[in-house]
Amino acid sequence: MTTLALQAPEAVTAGNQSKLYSLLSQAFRYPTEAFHQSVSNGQLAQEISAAAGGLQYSVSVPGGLDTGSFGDTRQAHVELFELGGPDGPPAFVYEGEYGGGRLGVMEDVLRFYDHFGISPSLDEGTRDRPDHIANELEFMHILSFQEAAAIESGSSPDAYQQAARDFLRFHLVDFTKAIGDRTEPKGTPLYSGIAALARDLCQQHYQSLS
Amino acid sequence: MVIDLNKCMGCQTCTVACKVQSTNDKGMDHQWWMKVNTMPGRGYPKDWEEMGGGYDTEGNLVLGKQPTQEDYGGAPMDFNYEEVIYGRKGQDVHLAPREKPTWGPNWDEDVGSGEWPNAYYFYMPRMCYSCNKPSCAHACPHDAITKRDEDGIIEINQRACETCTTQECMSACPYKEVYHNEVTMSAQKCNWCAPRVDEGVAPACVRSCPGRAMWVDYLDNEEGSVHKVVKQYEAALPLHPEFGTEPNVFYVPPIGPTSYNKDGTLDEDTPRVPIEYLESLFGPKVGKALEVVKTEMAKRRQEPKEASGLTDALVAKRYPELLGELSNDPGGVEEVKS
Repeated sequence: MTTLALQAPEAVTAGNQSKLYSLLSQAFRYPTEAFHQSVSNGQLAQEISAAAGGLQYSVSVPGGLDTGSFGDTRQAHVELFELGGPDGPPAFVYEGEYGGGRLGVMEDVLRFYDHFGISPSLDEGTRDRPDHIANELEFMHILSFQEAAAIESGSSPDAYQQAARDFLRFHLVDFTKAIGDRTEPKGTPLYSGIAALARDLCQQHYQSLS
Repeated sequence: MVIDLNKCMGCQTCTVACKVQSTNDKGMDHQWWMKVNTMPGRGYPKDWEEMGGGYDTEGNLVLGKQPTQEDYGGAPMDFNYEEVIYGRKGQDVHLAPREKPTWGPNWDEDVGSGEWPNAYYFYMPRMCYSCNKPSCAHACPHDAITKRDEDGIIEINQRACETCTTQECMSACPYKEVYHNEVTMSAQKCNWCAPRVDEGVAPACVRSCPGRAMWVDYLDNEEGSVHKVVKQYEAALPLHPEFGTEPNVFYVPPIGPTSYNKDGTLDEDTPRVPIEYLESLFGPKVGKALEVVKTEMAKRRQEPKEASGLTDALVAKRYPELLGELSNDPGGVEEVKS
């Protein structure tokens, strides 16, 4: 893991943005015990609140994130994002499932990753499609991190900001809206909350760059 | 030979045609007489542009670095076919090289350069440049390398070469297009498909190019496309003229896509491929060559349209125009067995 000590106010803002994308990315992955614990003991809510408070735009931070036992959290994740039910299809975590052609979406996303020297993990147990919401949010986390590093070192953050704008415009703004619209009405407080926050963050971030 | 870098799409058909025909023998695994490199890139062998060779400004022969096995990517890739295909382990073992490869003929494909959103790259087919002043032949201590009078093709006499222990030709070639065969213990390189040329048939790379991006002909054939593009319009230039070997492959430089401004609008005035980079490849005349290409293309786009000999030549609507005086059908030539 790389850490950065940030002093410049703009760099701190980009750092908070990076942190928020990272937290959301982890929250969308299939829950682990450590993740569940961070939800139960309030650590996740606290970290989200701290990062969201340091942005240059405002996002609506969800109130309670509790979701019951570890088993309940896993069950909620599977029901919401994989199975669906009588109320409709699941809130797919893969962007390509919402239209645009799976391969086309995956290829475009990979081109973004490639440009910045990032390739998704191929390891057993962690590999997944590049258009998984967690991968796309993690990419935004890295872009914001690089933006913060560039500002802190006095070099131009333009390339990272423009890439973030394009990635949000072509992928995440619509994708997080689609997930949010399907998750909010039927999700647990945890998943409704993070889906709404992801949608809000992507929209606000995009507007700040446009 | 002329290669239009605006038309080359990096499909590697020429690479494969060459590999199948010419370098499909023992000791030739690492030999890619024709390959398409992504530029900017480190190329094949790795970092060949920095290895030196050719002639200095006073015309003295320069011996540069000899590429090592590492520069070609280490030991030739040996795949686990037996295990996966014949050993009934296909469900558990993936088909892969036994040793992890570290470099290859198009290792840095599509990487390129430039900052988002103005990234850029283009493809550059490379082979023996059949230079007028072949530093490889100059450096050869055994007079094994000769340039044919009739067509300028440079050939290596394998029998004379195999006694050599220094491989100075490899040091002297600035394009690093001479390879050493560890089995025959001789130097080998692209010979522009000399046996085909002898029969009036174009080299395999040109003949196989699906993008019609390559032309072959004698430069002094005033009716041919090569003469038109290189001599009449001066729209194609040699690669690294500063190497001093006067190569006979001429590239039409890439115009490249339009740049974006910060607000996402198009910036028509700033080329995405920096002119400084193109000058580092093709010398100071590249700006003029690009202007010629753009001006001639504009003639065909405007209304009413104007005739443009250069555009007609580069479009190559009639396939035989690519082949110049080497337009014989390879299907009609009897196979020669060595």
